[in-house]
Amino acid sequence: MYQEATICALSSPVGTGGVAVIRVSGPEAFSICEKLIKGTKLSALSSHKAILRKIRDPKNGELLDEALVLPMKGPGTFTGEDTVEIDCHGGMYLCRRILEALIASGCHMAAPGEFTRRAFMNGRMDLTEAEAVMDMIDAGTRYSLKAASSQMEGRLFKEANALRDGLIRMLADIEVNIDYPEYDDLPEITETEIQDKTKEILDKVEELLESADTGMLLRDGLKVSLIGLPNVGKSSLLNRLLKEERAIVTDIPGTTRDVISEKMDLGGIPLKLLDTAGIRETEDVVENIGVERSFKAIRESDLVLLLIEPVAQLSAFPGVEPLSSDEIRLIESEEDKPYLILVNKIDQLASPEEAVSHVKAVLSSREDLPKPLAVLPISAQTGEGIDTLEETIKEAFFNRDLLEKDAPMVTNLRQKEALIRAKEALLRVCAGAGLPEDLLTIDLTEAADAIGDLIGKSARDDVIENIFSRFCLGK
Amino acid sequence: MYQDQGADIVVIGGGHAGCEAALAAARLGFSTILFAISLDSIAQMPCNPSIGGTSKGHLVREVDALGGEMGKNIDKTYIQSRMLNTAKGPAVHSLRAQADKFRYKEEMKRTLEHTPNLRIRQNEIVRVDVETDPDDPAERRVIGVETATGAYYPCKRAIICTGTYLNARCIHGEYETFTGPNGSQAARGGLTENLASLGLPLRRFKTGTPARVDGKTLDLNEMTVQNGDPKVVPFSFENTSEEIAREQIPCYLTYTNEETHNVIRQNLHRSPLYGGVIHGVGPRYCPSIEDKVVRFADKERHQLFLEPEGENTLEYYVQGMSSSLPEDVQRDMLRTIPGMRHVEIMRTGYAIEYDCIDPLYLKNTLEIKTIQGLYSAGQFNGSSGYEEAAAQGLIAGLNAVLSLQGKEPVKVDRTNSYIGVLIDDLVTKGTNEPYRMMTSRAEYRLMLRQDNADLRLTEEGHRVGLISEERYRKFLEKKRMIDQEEARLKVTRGIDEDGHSHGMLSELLKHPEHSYLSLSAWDRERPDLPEEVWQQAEIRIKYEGYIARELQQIEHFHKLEKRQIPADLDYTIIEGLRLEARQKLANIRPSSVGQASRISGVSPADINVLLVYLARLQKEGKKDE
Repeated sequence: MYQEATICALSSPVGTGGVAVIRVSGPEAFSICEKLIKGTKLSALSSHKAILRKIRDPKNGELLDEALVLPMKGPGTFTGEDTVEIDCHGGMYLCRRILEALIASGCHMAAPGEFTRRAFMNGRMDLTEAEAVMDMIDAGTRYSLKAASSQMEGRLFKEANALRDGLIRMLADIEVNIDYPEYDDLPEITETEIQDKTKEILDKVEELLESADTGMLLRDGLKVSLIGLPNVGKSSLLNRLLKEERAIVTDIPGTTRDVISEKMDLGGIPLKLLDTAGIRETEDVVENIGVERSFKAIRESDLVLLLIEPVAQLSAFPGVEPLSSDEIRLIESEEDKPYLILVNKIDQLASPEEAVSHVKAVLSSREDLPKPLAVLPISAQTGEGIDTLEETIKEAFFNRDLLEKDAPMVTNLRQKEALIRAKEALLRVCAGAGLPEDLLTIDLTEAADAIGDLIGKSARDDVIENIFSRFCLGK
Repeated sequence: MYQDQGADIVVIGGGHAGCEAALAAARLGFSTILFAISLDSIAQMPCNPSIGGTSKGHLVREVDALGGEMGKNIDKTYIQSRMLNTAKGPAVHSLRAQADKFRYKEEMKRTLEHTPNLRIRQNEIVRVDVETDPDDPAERRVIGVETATGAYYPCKRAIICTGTYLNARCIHGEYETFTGPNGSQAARGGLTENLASLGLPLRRFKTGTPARVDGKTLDLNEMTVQNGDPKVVPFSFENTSEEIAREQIPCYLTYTNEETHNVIRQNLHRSPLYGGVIHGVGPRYCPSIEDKVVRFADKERHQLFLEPEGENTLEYYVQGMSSSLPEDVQRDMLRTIPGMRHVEIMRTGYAIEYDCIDPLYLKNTLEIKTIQGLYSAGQFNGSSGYEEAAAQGLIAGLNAVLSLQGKEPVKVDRTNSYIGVLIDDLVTKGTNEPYRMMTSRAEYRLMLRQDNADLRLTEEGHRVGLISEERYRKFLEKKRMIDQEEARLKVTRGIDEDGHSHGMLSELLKHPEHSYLSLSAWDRERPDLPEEVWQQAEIRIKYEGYIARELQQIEHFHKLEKRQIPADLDYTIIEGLRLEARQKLANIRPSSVGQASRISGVSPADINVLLVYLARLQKEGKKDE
């Protein structure tokens, strides 16, 4: 038999009600699980028979859950290996705690499709399914790369689930009275309760929507172009920034070098530097081709960093302007794009403040020029001023509250659109105050479906499920 | 074995599905035979003595709009009628009637008897005869049926409507019998084995019914009286309120209490449900009283209704007390209930298990996918309820005939009827418990009202041939009057007593505080119209915004529904479909992308993969030409 490490994963979708099933499979499945249910010898029990046990964290004995534990001896299992299923009472947090405890006890987290792959390898699946299995593993890996990249998404899903649960619950409260009008002992949800609850959910949806800008920037990175005349130190600044950041991800290998962008993490904020190849190239070239090239980068970026060289001892060279005509052209081309002017090489200046104020003076004398977010003194050489740059960017583009609270955030457009749909539907519920509640369910269902789109669920069946799990009905 | 001359259509079973199927087929001029194990149980109501209720009332009105019989039959035999949910919006108003269940089946049998082209035979069908194409073993079609007495009936189409009779087993506590509902003979002569050998995926479902008690042993004055509505709305669009008016009989309301629950708890070990005797899957929405007490342990009381079983009987049905506990426990628990301290049971409550088919094995015409000409309807298809059965029976009967005529199947879908929702749910999503209709299952609920069932379906009933020319003419006239009144309200100003204009009547109607009736003083040229006409105009205007949005969704629905999927599509070669989706799709073989999108386990991503694949297929197909 094909044997490998013992793996674990949540094998039922996390969601409303019901039970979440954690599956553990592999040669050590029994012994690892025994660490969480001290005092029970799983291998001594009869196979395929569930027992009720307290699940404790082996680290400190903390009670995590009381759950049905189902030991199954291989090869008569899905994977063909020894398998244990733990039916816990759901909830992301609990599941995660149990999974963490399993991992701490020697399990590996299963890769997407791994249970299926093992089933196939161990001959528990017929050959015709082989291709489909490989597809699934392939699809799964792509997914995991994406999902693993952000813990934020986990929090968003949890929040969306909670909001949807609230809607489903309210829908069930309404629907049960519609489908079972003859019961006089069902709690009747009032108009005010519907409106209050809707507003509460609406507030949270709006809160999530407000996080979208920050969330999407956090996920995709703030697109930044670094421009400036040749030899002002773009290359050194780039190297400095690359030295500061903690991880470089080069986008999509195989694309042509000149569109390569580099992702970096500057004090917790992801930046995506556009045209880094171009920066290096133009530094080597004496002509001014960098200016033309920069226009393209400007158009594509969220933020432009214009690097300039200070003119030392300005007063000693009358007639010399702090900004060259090419630099003015670059500034003009910003139009309404946010940009920062970085005055470089301040390590060589006696008074960096003076250099900055010269630039500011020029800008305020020219009303036609777009105003920068700030003019900052930096040194690409020594790293001076990078902190301020970081803070300035955070202040301008990210909601600090969200960053600090680790709040759930919307991280892509699809999620944002779903939430906008939910918001509009909820607003219609508010506007429909006074109408019969079965009409309000039209928009409540739409809101639940829209939020469900975030987590891949449709509302209707869950409402019915909710009705029967909470109310006692029938002949 | 002897051979009968046979018939075009054979209906196996005479319950609510079988009656509708047989009547539809015979009325369209096709020779039809209906087989029932006992002719005395034709159109029997072995459970609650009522027709309709939320969403089920909608089904009955739809059956009527298509030309079915259930609505007419309950209008003849009701003993109490109520419109439920009148405090809520018009979409969820639901008609429910108490039936005289003895008269109900008598009337239905009489109607069957007087229908030309229809023969009624008391006999059990034990075999469906299927012919296999010698050139293609996958091509099979039904050619006849065989009875328990050894007679062979050739036929072109057969419709299985075995209800809860097939291989039935009844359980009351420790006592169990192999009988059908209400102590009748079960169908155990070989049909189960025959269907299994034909490769049909059979499964076992369970349901139950409460005890019937002797009315003279009840203290009805200790219970709350529930009367019918003063003005009764008929189920059938062919009847008027005046025509069917009659004196009504009340129902009674009472409750269980802690004492009742203690009796149940002390005897749980004698429950077949908790003792592991019952293996069938029971429905969540009709739990037995022992189930309720266990699952909702903190509930102090459960509501019960005492419903008369008929006008000329003292038997009462104890709604809410369905049970499979032993007889003595049933008696003891009933005697703890106010008004029932001295009650005598006449018929013991029981649980019943029966064989049925996995409805995923059916086309949306209700034809079995692998056997041409073999249809099925009702509880055999995994549903529950008289109304759900009648609706399917009607559709199966009609589709059997339409296929013989070479015509399109009946057009019912999720956007035009609860019948469409019911059938689509069954054949697309399947069910793991007896399926009960609910208004919350319909996504276009506002369009699918009980009041407009005729507007939604009469046209189709006329096309298939069950709606007479006279009824159709009246229907067209009603439609015209509604349109005309709606148009008039949109161009007529509301003028108050002092001659001041308050804007268009249609705008006024949209305010929740106004209604068509309340505006009559401001609407001086109002024509004298029947209620069912102005009511439609009022609803259309009042809920215009919601209706417009629902219509938009319906349009979107039809777009996906129109994207047909070739019946022989090979899902195993489509790259990018997840394994689960691939298996589900290959198994269910949806006819359209819309249907595919409703299969559980098929994600929006899978649908996208499918759409891309179909588009490519189409392109390549064009290139080949």
